[in-house]
Parts: sequence; C-alpha cells; structure tokens
Amino acid sequence: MLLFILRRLFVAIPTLLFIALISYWLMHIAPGGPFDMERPMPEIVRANIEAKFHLNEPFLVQFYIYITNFVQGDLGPSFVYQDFSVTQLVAQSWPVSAILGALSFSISVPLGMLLGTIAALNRNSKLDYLLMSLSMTGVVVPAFVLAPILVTIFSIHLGWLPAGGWEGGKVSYMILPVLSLAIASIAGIARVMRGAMIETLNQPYIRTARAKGLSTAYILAQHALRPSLIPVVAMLGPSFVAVITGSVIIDIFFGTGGMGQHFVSGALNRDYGLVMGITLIVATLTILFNLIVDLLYALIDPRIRL
Amino acid sequence: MSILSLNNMNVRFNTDDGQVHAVSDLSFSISAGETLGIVGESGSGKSQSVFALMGLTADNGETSGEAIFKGQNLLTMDNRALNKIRASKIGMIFQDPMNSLNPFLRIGKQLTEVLQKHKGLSYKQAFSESVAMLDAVRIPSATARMSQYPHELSGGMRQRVMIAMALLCKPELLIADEPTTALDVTVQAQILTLLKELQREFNTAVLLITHDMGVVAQVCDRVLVMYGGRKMEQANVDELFENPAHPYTRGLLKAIPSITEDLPELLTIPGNPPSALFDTKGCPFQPRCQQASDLCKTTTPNANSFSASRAIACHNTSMIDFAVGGTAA
Ligand SMILES: Nc1ncnc2c1ncn2[C@@H]1O[C@H](COP(=O)(O)OP(=O)(O)O)[C@@H](O)[C@H]1O
Ligand SMILES: [Mg+2]
Repeated sequence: MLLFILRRLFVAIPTLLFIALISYWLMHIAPGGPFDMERPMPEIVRANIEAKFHLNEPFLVQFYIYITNFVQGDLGPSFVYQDFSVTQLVAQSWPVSAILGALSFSISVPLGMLLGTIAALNRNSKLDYLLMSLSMTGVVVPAFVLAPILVTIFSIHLGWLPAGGWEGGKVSYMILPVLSLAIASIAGIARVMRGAMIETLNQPYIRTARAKGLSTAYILAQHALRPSLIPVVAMLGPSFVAVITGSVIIDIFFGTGGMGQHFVSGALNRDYGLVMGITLIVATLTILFNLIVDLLYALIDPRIRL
Repeated sequence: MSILSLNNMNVRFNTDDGQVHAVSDLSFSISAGETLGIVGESGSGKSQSVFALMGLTADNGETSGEAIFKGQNLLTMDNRALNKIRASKIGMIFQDPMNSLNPFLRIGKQLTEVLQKHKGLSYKQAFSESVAMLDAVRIPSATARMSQYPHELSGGMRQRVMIAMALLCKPELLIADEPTTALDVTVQAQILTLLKELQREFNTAVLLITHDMGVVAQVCDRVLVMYGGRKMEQANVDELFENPAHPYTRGLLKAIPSITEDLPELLTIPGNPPSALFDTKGCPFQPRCQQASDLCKTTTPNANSFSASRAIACHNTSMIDFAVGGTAA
C-alpha cells in the first residue's frame, strides 16, 4: 500500500514535467507575447524587458530556468501584474477556488448518491422518470448557460441572492456559484448511482441477504451501498476535472476572484508565468486526486490489492 | 404432520413479450425431518417455486395459490412478517456459491448479522456461535475464516459457509437450490453427505432442488418431477427409480450416465425444454413426448393421485401401465 503510493508519486514527477513542457511550448508558439502593446515600445526597452524575463533565451533554456525556480517554490514573476509574483497571485485566489470546489464537491457527492438511490428504489415510477429527466437536463446544460439562468431567477426576479462578487466569502455570495458548479455533478452522480444501485440490487448476494430476513434499510446500508460506490468513485476523477474547468467560467461570470479568473486573463495577456503556475497546480491536484480515487477503490473492494 | 404444504401455487411474470407461466398449479407438502427432492431440467420452474414461497419473486412477478407454513400462508404475508420467518424458520442455500455471498463483506459479518437479527445476540455471542457452526460444517480453522472475504475461499468452502449460514438459527425447513451444481464431483459428494448428517442432527426438513437424478437417489426420501412449471410425477424415491410412470421421468432416468451398463453415448430426451412458457394449453411436455396424443395438445393433464405417495400428470399412463412396471417408452 505504502509502496503503491510512493511508486505513484514517483511516476507523477515525469508526468508533471511533461505537462509543464507541453504547456510551456503551447504558450510559446501562441502568437504574440506579454509585452505586445497597441503602440510598439522602443526597441531598447523591449530588449531590456525580454532579457529581464529571459525571453531572449532559446526555448529549452527558458523552460529549464522556469522549472528550476518552480521546484524551489518560486512560480516566477507575473509578466503583467508586475507588482505581484505568481506565488502571491495564486496565494490570494486559491482559497476562493478551494472553497467553491470543496463545497460543490461535498454537496454533489452525497446528494447525487441519495437521489440516485431514491430513483433506483422507485425505478420506472413517475418519481424515477422525474428525477432522471431533471438529471439529464442537469448533465447537458453547461455552467455558462446555467449560471445566467440562476442569476436571472434568484438575483434579478426574486432578489434573494447577489448576482456576483465574493465579499470575503459571505454565504449568500457563495450559493449561486456553488449551485452552478454542483448541479452538473449532482446530476451526473445521480445517474451513475441509479444504474449502479439497480445493478447491485439484482445481484444474487442481495437475494441471499433478503432470504436472511434482514430489513430493507439494513440491506441497502450494509450490503448494497458499498458495491454501488465503485462506479460512483470512477466518476469522481472526471467530476473533479469538471469542477475545475467549470470554476473558470464561474469565476468570470460571478467575479468571485478565484484562480479561474487569473487563468483566463493570464492566457489572454500571454502572462506565461501565471498560466504556467495555475496549470501546474491544477495538474498536481488532478494527479493527487486520481491517486486518492485509486486508494478509495482498494478501500471499498476487498478484492483489489495494491 | 407436514410443516409446509403448497396448494395450487402459480408464479407468473409480466414481460414485454407477454405473461410467462413460470410455475402452474403446483401442490406438494413436506414433513419434519424428511427430504423432498424437486427434479427437472433447467427452466422447469424449480427455483421460482421456492423463491415464491420465500417472498423472493422478482418485481415483475406475481404469485397466487397457497403456501401454508405452520398454519400461515406465506404468499400473502408482507415483507416484515416474512422477515421473521426467513432464516429463522426457513433457511435457504442458493445455487451459485460464487455470487451468493457478498464479496464486499467478511464471512464473519455475513454470519453474525443473522444471529444478531433473529436471536438478538451480542456480537461476541454471535461470533462464537458462528464459529461453532463453521466447525459443524467442517470448515478448518473456523476462527480465521471469520475475518476472510469470500474470494479467499474455494467454491466448496463457500458453499459450506452458505450451509452454515442457512443453519445458524436451526430452521425447521432448509431449502437447498442446486447446492452442489457448481461444484466438482468429490466436493459435491462431501457436501451432500454433510447435508444428510446435519439434517439428522437438527431434524430439519430438506427441500432439495436438483437436475441430477443421481443426487436424488443418494439423498431424497420422496421426489417431485417438474417440467414447464408443472408437477409431472411425484413418488417415493424407490418407487420412482423402480417404476417411473411419466414419459418425462423415464426420459430423465435414461439420461443418467451409467457406470455398470456400458452405453455408447448418453441418452437424452430429444428436443429442448421451453425457454419461457407463454401458452399453457395442453401438456407442456407434449412437443417432446413420443406418446403424445391429440388430447395432450388440447388438455392439460391433472396430477392424479394413485396412492398416498404417488401422483402422475399424464393422459397416457394408466394404472395398469405402471403397475406392470414402466413398459416401452
Ligand atoms: N423475472 C423474470 N421475468 C420473466 N421470466 C422469468 C423471471 N424469472 C424467471 N423467469 C422464468 O421462469 C422460468 C423458470 O425459471 P427457474 O425457476 O429459474 O427454473 P429452474 O430453477 O428450474 O432452472 C424460466 O422460464 C425463466 O425464464
Ligand atoms: Mg434454478
């Protein structure tokens, strides 16, 4: 088990390096640079700035310099917000993203499982059809459509909740962004959970449990839940990535000030340092998350040995 | 005194293709300490008839008729009432030891929960009683098994665990649905011997489902032959083997591989059992029966009793026919 974790972490290093190289290269070949202005700056100033940020070096040298700094915890300067280092920008924005992500995740997993189980227990009833059509809608409507709809209803028409901003993390400001992020996950998890639960309830060992005179609630909790978790756990990885990409749109739409906002402005401004920093943080999180998912499998299913 | 008697029980399934008549008009009874065998080819409704009386019929199924267990009709009981009878009064062993134990739970948990539920034992008491039961079904190092998962045990060991599980509350009736079908021959013989011994020890009535006439000969007192969801013949085991009356029974007996007679190849009944029965007109076996007459195509034969132990559902088997001793088939 420990060996498995160590091995996975070890393999993660070349993976991250590769991701870094590819994204660095993609940034590099994108037309334009961080200091392209409407009005061209004097050649001498430009040369000075490029030298300061090593932009005059060959590509691989630039990459090498970047990586050696990164390993030492220095994400480099922001090329555009010149008074800030990337580390500072990230430090300022990550709590917002972490709160949004964690909240929507911790709402969507249990709620999705609950709704899926209810649908499975009432399969082919009106309730099941209702839940499944709602979840189908939730899955196919993207966050950038859902967010404006929610704002129109709850902020503009009803006036219950603010349409944007963060205000240092007041609950009322969190509700709509979290909902916009979570609904697709809730819907996706509910659909998978329903299928998994129906499948489990048809297993011979559930019939055995019933023949043992155990109550339905006990059978659900003790015999059927764990097997049904496996497909749900398989969805957690993609769900996590969806929450991260979703948060980019949410950050921009609601102006919550999370990392997503920096990511997009960084990309538009060719702020290499900022984009790279966020990319690598997200990549690291994804790798760690997938490791946790694999550990969860082993925790749930005794037949899986690590 | 019979502890369970089925009276004209039916099991129907509603499917997209129509109504499947899985079990029709089935009647039998079983007394304490007795072993009743139910034989028939796959699909003849053996499992569904016992699932029905345990309240385990699938959602698309419905049951009718009576299954009187100690004065109560199991078929009209609700789930809560049935839960008091399941495992505590009627134990059940399933066909497939690989999938009938929960692969996600330790053996210990799957055993102790039965005793905790039905006898209100503490975990500690339940644990020691479970270990004792694993010993009783001859599972070596029983205590260590308690913390193992099903996949760590062989098929034979898992089936022993199933048997131990079904016997934990010393039920008055044990239903064993093809308990040895998935096992190899040596293990099969061991499990059957074990069942016999345990039956004697606990005076349990055993309802043994099998498609193997050899198993019937080895362990049953009485036997019921099923085909197409119906009872074809019922007899004491000796009577049946000496003097099979129904053409289907004769076919089944011919299909047993014989060690003494050197048959060139295994004789089987020509044709296949129906995959699902939609039409119940006539005798279900009639399409494969060499003696079928026009009457067989239009009228379903009733299972007529010829003596206390014997009943036959066939238009063409007269009293004389089997009194003389199963003539030409
Ligand atoms: N849920 C169901 N829906 C429709 N038909 C079913 C269902 N369950 C069982 N059957 C049918 O019931 C018949 C009897 O099956 P079964 O009792 O399992 O046979 P056996 O145990 O003798 O092999 C089969 O034809 C099977 O297809
Ligand atoms: Mg069967």
